[in-house]
Amino acid sequence: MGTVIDVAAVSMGLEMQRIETSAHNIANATTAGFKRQLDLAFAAEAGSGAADVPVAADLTQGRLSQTSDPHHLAITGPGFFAVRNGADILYTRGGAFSRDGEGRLVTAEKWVLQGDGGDVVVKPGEFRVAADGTVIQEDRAIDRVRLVDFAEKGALARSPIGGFVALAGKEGHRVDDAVIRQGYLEMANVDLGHEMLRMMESYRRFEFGQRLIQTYEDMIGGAVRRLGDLQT
Amino acid sequence: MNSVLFIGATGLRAQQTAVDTLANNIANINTPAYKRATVNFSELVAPDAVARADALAAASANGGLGVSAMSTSKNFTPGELRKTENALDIAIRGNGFIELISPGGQTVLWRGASLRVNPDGFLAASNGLQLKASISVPNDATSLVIGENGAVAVTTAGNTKPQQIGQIELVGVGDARALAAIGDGMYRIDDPLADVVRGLPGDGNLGLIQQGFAETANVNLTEEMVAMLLMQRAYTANARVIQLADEMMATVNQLRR
Repeated sequence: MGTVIDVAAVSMGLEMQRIETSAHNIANATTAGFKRQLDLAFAAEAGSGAADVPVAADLTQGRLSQTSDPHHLAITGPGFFAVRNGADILYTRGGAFSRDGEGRLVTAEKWVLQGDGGDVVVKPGEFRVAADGTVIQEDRAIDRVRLVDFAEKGALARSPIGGFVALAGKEGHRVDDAVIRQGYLEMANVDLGHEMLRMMESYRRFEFGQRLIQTYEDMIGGAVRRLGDLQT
Repeated sequence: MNSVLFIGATGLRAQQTAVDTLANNIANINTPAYKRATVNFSELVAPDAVARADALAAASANGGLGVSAMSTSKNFTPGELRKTENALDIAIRGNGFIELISPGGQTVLWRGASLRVNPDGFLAASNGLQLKASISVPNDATSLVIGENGAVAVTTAGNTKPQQIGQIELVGVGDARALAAIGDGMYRIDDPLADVVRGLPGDGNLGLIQQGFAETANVNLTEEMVAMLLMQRAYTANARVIQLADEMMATVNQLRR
């Protein structure tokens, strides 16, 4: 009979994790390029088997929002911006770049945007990024923003500092069918209503676990009392 | 469940910063040469979530810790120039800044607005900080002309020919993020390694000086309002998360009646 308590406790723990996932998604509802996190149970449903979905992130396209900042880039279609953090390459959909002292385009985390020729470097003054990622300055193409995608869904994992990293041995390929828009940011693909609903749902299941434990306790309590009655 | 509470709190804090920044942008919509600020959000992830061998576990709920308003960045896109016909209003058509002498001796950059003549006769910004160019305006000056190239000339009483009394130089900063706003439309260079170019108006992309014009704030009210509505909703949603975390704790406490 002890298993009832165990089952209820496990279920309560699981629902708590689900609520954490939703809370994280809600907290990042305005983070540019954020991709909604999926929780374990949902991820297992989405893939054919658990091993297929190391990144339990919903990679659907976020809405674009116009910012008129020429350093902001958004991707419509598949792929990620390749950014360099020290010697590591990370992948992100967040395109809120700005120009640093050396003319490189960097994110708020100081990750450097990568192009075909390594770091994308633009001189002071105006520059244009064409739909195919070509960076144009003074009527000359100076570089092309590198967009990378992975054939396998399971090639990416979350990086501890944000963004995604490619798992060992996984190679990305260049994306040519995506459109880059300058002066726009891709918003998070979080639907607040949906997350709220899932949170309430999880909360009810959590409450149910609590009721289960209470009912079980009443039952045992009653049984013990009745056993005591029999003895006298 | 504690982490639900903290994740909600990070969300509230980040949205609060964002709304504060937005409110400041809207409040300054009529401040000459004001540059709008935006908040960059960044996702917080627990380091151990990724270190775990099981990649699926890494993607589970324990990975996310919420959000942080990583930094505020100023958008230095030039605003529109509006004609004021006032000889002491100057604006810069381009990306340069005018350097001022600060009491502490640091480099203070200014996008231009209203000039004034200090009691000691030196040309200064409207808050009294003197221009680095140290231009002394004679007492009997009747008119002041500032050319596009930064040359300052005055006509004195009884003298029909304008006389050049100084030259305003411009300063360009490669990385606008190295600038910290210190109020009154002025900026301090925070990063000692920042790439600073000094030159005459017209050099490179420093721009030209326009007398009799004021630069309007580069704030777009529609954009700010839309962003504000979004942030308000996001704030409420995070508040609800915290409320739920509280209810969960209450539920747990009721386990033992």
